[in-house]
Amino acid sequence: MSAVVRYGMVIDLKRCIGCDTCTMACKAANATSRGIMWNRVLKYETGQYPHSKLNFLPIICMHCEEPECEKACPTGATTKREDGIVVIDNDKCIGCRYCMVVCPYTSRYFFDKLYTYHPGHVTSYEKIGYKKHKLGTVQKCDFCLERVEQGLQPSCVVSCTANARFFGDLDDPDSEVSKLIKERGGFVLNPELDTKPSVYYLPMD
Amino acid sequence: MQMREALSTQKVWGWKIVAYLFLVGLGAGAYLVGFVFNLIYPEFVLFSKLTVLITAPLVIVGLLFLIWDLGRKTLAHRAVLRPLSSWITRGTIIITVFIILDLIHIGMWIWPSTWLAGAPGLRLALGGIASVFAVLTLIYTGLLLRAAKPIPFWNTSFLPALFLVSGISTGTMGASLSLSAYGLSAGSAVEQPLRLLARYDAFIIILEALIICFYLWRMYQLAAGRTSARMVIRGSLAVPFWGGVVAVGLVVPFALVVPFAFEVYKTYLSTIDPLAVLVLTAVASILGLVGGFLLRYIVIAGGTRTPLKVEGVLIPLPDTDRVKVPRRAAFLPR
Repeated sequence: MSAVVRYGMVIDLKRCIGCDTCTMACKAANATSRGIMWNRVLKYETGQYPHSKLNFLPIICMHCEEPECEKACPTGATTKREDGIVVIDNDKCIGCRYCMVVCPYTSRYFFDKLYTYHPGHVTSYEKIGYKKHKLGTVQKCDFCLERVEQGLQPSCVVSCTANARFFGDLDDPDSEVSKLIKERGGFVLNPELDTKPSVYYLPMD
Repeated sequence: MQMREALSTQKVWGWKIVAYLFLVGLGAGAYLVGFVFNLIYPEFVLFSKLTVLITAPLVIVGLLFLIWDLGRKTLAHRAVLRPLSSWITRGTIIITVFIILDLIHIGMWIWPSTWLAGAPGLRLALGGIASVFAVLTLIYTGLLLRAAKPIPFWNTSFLPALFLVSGISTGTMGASLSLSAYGLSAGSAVEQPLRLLARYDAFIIILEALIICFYLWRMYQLAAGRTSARMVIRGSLAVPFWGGVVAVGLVVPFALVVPFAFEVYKTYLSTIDPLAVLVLTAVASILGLVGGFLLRYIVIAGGTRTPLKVEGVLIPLPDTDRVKVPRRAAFLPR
């Protein structure tokens, strides 16, 4: 393994068309329960008619450098890995949901009941996928940890139809993400909260 | 930029956390009131014993509400295994120590052993240490919420102060309720300590009202805090606030307690049945307790998240509570 990596994501708001393919790809990759969406695309309107515009803001776990959730976790279930990915240890989590309260991006979900997509029956793919979730614990996006460890990119990045998502090493100045942030003036959400997110957004104009 | 859409309130924590904050505050407040009262008026031993007795059950039931709220209740002990890591951990440790101290106090002073009655110095020391933990418990209930940076309604130092004073207030109410209930059932004279208690209570009610005013006023100056403050003053939480916290919790108990405490209508009061005074105090106390519960409910239910900001536009964050899924999705064949 190379010395130090700090994984991060760049989401180009100029390119995003709000198709929610990332949401579906996330569901397919992580087999989350119905109602739980580790990836969401918020839709909002700006301007007044006839000059109004529909905008999109995909949000996932921001994998903050200073995670509020990690400070709030009483059991040490939430940790920040060396490569910058914030993970939840299912076995340690007791489901107090304090992390959900303190997360500025509401990126965490409480999994207290399994709702399947096909009422009355579970597909064999879902059966395997559901194994990694534990009832009564909090869960969230983990940058598709299994894929990243295999050297692949997160499934939302791969699937993005508009090529609006980029994944890479924020510490490497020559990486695609670092260059994009520098050239296009990437910003993070709510920087005043001092969480230093690892997910950057590129402006619409 | 105008915020046209209403901001969503947090829905992660609900009434179980409200009950937890309320009961823990009530127990700790009652203990503190009992201890201080014992220092000033050592002659009313019965009252001090009552407060020591009611504390542990209240706090333990409060803690049970927190455990009930957990996703995996059987693993609740893990919350204390990593000391100082989180406010949940610190608070649970503080509360656990407090419960243990109170149980020692009960066991050595009231039942089964009573030798602490013969050692006033030791009893004072034990009470002093436990009172420190009672204060810590009260402040902690505010600090737990204060640590939530994205919720301005909670992220303020007014909250520990408010919960400290409100805890003492509800503790006083709980103590006078138990004392008047004891007086009604045992028929013994408890009017004197009740009156002294009511005097302090009147001042605490005024202090609590002042803190609530300053708290809401301060919140009104912050963007997302204003949404919460509006919700409380003239929005969806206005009824529990004006009707519950202000009227039932502060004004009516104050109005009931003051004539009795300061013997305003002395000739009138002396003509009525002493039992009626006990009933009056009990009613005022119950109303005050309801107000204390609703105060915590308003704080929890009114917590609004700071919206996300993208290029000057504020985007309200939908809260991610428990999964709520319609019974049958519209697109599925029946």
